[in-house]
Amino acid sequence: MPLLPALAAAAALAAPFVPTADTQVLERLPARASDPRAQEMQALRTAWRQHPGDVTHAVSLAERYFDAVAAEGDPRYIGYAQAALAPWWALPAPPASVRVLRAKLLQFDHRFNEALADLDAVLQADPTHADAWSWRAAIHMVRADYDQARRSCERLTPLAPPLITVACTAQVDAATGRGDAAAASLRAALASPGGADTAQRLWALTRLAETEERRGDAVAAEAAFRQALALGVGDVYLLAAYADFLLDRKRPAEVLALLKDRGRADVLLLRLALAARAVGAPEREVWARTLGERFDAAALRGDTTHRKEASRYLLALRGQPAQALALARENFAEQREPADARILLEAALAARQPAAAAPALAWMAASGFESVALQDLATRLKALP
Amino acid sequence: MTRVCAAPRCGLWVLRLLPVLPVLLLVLLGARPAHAHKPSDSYLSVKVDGRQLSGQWDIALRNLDFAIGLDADGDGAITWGELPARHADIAAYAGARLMLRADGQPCALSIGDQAVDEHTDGAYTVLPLRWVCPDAPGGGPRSLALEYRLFADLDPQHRGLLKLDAAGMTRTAIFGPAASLQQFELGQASRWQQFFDYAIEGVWHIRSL
Repeated sequence: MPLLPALAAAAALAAPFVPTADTQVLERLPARASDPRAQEMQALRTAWRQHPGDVTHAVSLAERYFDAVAAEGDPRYIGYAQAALAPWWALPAPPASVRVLRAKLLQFDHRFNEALADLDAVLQADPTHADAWSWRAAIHMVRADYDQARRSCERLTPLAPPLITVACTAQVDAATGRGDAAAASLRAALASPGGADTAQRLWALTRLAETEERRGDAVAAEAAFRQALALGVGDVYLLAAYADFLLDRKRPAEVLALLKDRGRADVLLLRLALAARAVGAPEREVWARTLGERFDAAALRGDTTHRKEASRYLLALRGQPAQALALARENFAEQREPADARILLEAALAARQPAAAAPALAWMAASGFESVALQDLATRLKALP
Repeated sequence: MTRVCAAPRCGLWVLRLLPVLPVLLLVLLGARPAHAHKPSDSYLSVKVDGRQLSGQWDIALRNLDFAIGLDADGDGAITWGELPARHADIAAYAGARLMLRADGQPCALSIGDQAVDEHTDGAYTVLPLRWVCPDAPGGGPRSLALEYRLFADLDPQHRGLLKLDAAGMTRTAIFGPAASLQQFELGQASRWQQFFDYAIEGVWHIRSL
């Protein structure tokens, strides 16, 4: 229960109340009933209810819910998707369509081993299953198994459009000391005509922006971030990444403008709270407190999948480096992406416990990961007495 | 939480470009921290005071809307005016999914007038609870068994977070599909449990009680 100390500070007593006006809005739903996407979802749900044992209906509905998680940022849809797959969920070898989706849902809970087992089983039976290869690559990236990620990208290459396969390999290159080549290939693929739709460009541009930032080319990184934002998708991950870019460059006012009214997403509320603190905005305390309450509420249910963000919250907004370090260490044992390494290095530095950063330093050395920010942190850690 | 796909866009293009592919493809957006909201929880508090069993149950309006529909006019907002007409349905739906036994005997639940509370992830209905249990020898029940099945069929990730006050001690439990039936021996908490309860108590106060 490492979050408990934070909570006492963040606690805000709420009390039940009886509204006085019938017109008082208590809750906003994701969509109006007349919204086309809501109607589509409702139609899928109706079809599933009429045939709950039909795998096609169930997978269609579950896929739609899965998509809604990223679009709306609400993890409730994970549970809804799982419910649709209930007849097959516990089977050792469900149909391939269910099994790939089960893997996608399991990785949300950081159950990476089970997810990979499902994907590998599907790929054993069908080596041309592009979705399974792509997810396999992504999970191996999170776990810093770059050989396996690269292999998955190679297997994906004949099965998917060029921009996707180039970007798949580029992300592995960028993580293994080949940032220059990764950026060049991403640029070339983005510049080549044909086919790529908004989602693909968004993803490739985000990868390019991150790669350029790690290489220390802030101008190129910002250009890529802005191109991605100009696509108008409002992707939560992109917004968070660009906000971090701005925060690193002491441009918090731009973060407040970028993320205005997006605080329902925890990852974005974290950036808002950091920016508000940096500029001394009046919302700084209420945002920080709300964020703390959300982490505590998640901890109550035994949820540990947001330790990276909670660590950052404790370190930067609550001034609790020891507690932040504990969470960052637990997180890094499970996830080894740049952001995971960064919070571990930062927390170890703030807590003046350089030895605690050893796993991140070892990962940097083994992978050859290039990042100006991470190298700077590593240097400062080594300079600690 | 981790996200690999920038859906919903991520799936659709494959269907357009590569119709031979069996299922939706991609986005390798690298598994992502996207714990954008808290998953679905309810907050259940039960207090045993001798033979009096009472409590409070906070359930998210969004979850109830998904289960039984609360947005009568379909405008995407739940107003207070839309709720009283559904209070009986909410009470019936929730009450049917919470069973309490005292010393093995089922207790009858009644749900009082509903209020509203704000939790970190939105508005919740607040159900006052009262149970009538069969008479038992002695001052009060020695054990309680709670069976919690709210939203179990709709959202296996939903959890019921219980805070139980009895015999001067507080304990907590998490209900979910894998732990839908739990039994509590009253007045038998260990010293460690008391310590832990003390820590938890602070947490729970951000909730409504």
